[in-house]
Amino acid sequence: MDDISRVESVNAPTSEDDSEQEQQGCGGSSCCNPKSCIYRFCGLVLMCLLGFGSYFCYDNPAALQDNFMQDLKINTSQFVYLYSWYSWPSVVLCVVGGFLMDRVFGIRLGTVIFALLVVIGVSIVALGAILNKFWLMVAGRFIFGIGGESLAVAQNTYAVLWFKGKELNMVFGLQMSFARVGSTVNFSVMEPIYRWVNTYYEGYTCTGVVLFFASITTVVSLLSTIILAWMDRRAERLLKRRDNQSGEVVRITDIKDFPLSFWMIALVCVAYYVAIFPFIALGKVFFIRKFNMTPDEANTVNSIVYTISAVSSPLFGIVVDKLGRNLICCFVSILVTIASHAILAFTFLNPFIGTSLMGLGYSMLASGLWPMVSMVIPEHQLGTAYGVMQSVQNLGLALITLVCGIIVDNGGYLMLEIFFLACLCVALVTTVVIYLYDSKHGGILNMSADDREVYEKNRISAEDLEREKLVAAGSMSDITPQDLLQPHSDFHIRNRYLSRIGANLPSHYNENQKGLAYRALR
Amino acid sequence: MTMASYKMTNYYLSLFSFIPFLLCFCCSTYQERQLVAELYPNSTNVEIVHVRAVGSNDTLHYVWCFRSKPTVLLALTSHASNLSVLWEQFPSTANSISFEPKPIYSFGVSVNQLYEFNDVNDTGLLDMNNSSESYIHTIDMPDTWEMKDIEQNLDFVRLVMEGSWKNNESFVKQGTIRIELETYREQGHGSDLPHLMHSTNATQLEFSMRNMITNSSFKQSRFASELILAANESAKSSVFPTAYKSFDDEHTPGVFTLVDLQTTASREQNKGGYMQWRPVAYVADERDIVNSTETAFYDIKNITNTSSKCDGTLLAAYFGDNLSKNLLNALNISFGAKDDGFYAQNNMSIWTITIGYGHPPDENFSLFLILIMSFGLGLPTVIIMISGLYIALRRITYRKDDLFLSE
Repeated sequence: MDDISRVESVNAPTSEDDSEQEQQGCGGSSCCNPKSCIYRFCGLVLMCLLGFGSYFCYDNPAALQDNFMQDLKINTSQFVYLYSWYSWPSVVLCVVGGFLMDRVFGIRLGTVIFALLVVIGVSIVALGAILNKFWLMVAGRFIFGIGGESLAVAQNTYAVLWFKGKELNMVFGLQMSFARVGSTVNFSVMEPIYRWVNTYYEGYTCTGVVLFFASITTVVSLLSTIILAWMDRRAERLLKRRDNQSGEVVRITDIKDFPLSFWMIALVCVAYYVAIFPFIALGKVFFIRKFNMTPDEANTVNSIVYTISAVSSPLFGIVVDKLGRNLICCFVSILVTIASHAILAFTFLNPFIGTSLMGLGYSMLASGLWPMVSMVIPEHQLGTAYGVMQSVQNLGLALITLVCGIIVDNGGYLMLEIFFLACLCVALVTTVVIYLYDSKHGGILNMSADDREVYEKNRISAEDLEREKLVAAGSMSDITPQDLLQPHSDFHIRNRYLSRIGANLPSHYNENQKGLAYRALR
Repeated sequence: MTMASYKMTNYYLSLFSFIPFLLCFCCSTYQERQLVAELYPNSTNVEIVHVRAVGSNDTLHYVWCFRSKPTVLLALTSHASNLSVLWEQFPSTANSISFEPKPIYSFGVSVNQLYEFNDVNDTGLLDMNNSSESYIHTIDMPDTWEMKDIEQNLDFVRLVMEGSWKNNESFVKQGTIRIELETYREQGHGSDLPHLMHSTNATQLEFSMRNMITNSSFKQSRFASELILAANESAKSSVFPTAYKSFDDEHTPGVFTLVDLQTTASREQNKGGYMQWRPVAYVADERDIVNSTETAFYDIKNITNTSSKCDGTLLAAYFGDNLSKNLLNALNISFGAKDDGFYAQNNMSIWTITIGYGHPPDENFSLFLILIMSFGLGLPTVIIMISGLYIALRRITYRKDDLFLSE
């Protein structure tokens, strides 16, 4: 049962004797203590590295598009297969990957398996190039897609387990910027590597060798997942994280019971991201024609969104960690993005202004939005939840990108910008609805950081209280399923009494809050 | 080389600007013209099409001529005026084609010649000062024109001609020039991209160069064309190109600029000739943003040597001796832009202009766009305002509840 799932995070408050035990062995020194900053910092570095390889290799074909098409004698539509065979399957397979991680492999083994899939996939792509078998390359991209997208899910889940409640927003921001760094490094490095390899090999063999070089990064990622798995296991042992005492197991049908707020967060995610990625994909011509830029300038303006987000997302993460109030943060970032799109659509101001604003909004949203999932979903379902979210996002992006192409060709860029603005408005409205819904159900999403700490403490103590009551009531065998389903704490009985007599409950006695507090024992 | 003056007019949108636009649509009253086309010399072997566009106050004649260089002539006359052509002398003799009684205004545009230039630095622009053989070649217009299609009904008259170089000694080894001319009963937008807007006083000319292979050894060749403009305005007047920029690319996706070229009379009194185009050329019959490239235009030139440029064209035959005394200018347009892979990438360039009389039509937001804008952006704004109010109200009531319980 050890690996199946866990209930508590690494840094969740643990009792005193746990921390005494960890002082034994090498745990005494600060760098080996799983609770120390250094230990967790190492974990963070590994978490960032584990995504680096897949982000680096994802854009290899784009960085070498001309060479690919010449060496392998493929046309543009064939070239696009390298991307579509990566992304379309991942629309479904993210959920499967996340679920398998929750249910079968556990996060540690799951991550290693996904990283291994990435290595295998990327190697097959390289092999396909060396043998000049295009179908083999496409098959490799397919396997790469299965591994890569699930690896991103695993990365999110790891971050939540290790950093929830403290630096989570910052960690999400940092992971994102590292992903961007990965793809940027790819674009600047692949061309020189190709030229260097080209002095020894020629044609498709050259492409293959270059791709093998690129696949080294995924091996690095694989190694970092293995080290991370060891560190996580050690931390769990030393900190005696309460692992899965309730024996909860995620079922695929749990997805339909995910709270409404989760689905709304996913909707915000889709509605927001469709206004960013398809825009960047179609932006070059827009900048050239509307703002009289050269193709090089247009590329620079286009990439400024990513450049800015790489720098600013960890910073915004820190801000959100300090302030809490994720929903306000999302709201503001969507507003900023609306402003940026409006500037690009309706004015002739230098597009650097618009795209820079967009980069700020984008990074702010990313560091505020993704951690919210961990607040509405219990931890044993997190992998599945992040998988669902990633799938929904991928599906939305894939479909909307097609729609955007149609809109541009028939209605022009102004119409496209209006479409993006409308999508952003949908995201904005959904954020407001989440706020309303959430404040009726405890308001965790928009709490300040301090309130959230108090809330979390209350939740833990309520849980402990419940457990004590159960233990005091006799041996575990006495407990009927009915008891487990409807725990009767003083707190609960008082609440029920108050509501029976028609008294208004104070806002912090909210029914739903209770539900969340007892979920671990359901 | 200097680009023609590039005046930009920016439209900034404010919420209130919707209202005048809406009014604009409701009140726009436009004239209609009844179209009657005559084919010369006969309906199977067409060289000239004469379209009478009869309006309420006057008649506009379009003469589309493909005997020698392709030319479009506009003449504004009274209803009584008629075209007469002396076939034996046309087009070599002056005044072999004329209207009786004399027109109020006439304006002619002919596609005079083509250039092929070797854009080694991939600028997308033609360097007019470089006339070396390794850089630029002049190509005469096709020697043979063949009618591909003619269509006439109440709404429009359309003529499609295809020119090719049958003479073995010609510089062009292979390729055709296709010219499609169209004029309309009502104001509107063209059916194909770039969907240029046309008034009832205009002919739309679509010019395409297909599969051109020449004897040049240029590796990075692009093409340009020279247009000659003539009007019965004094030689002191000129033509003025203006490039307008708008953020609205609804009708021509991906193109934000509109170029107007007006004669002095059109500029000052709206009683002169104009040309209007989008600086875009399509590189495939399947026209979309991906299959498009840019066009550039260059400084207006005065024609000093009238006879060598214009002899044997409709312009010379029509304007006669007045040609050199009147407004007579040349304009170069080049097709292609940096990084588009040169002409050879697609072996096609399609470019469209309208040639008309009066003031060039101004583009406006379409009703559809305004509706989309107001629903797509207005509705969410309303929802957010309402929910903001709701949150504010609920906060007030919430506080009351808490107070009540704390007692």
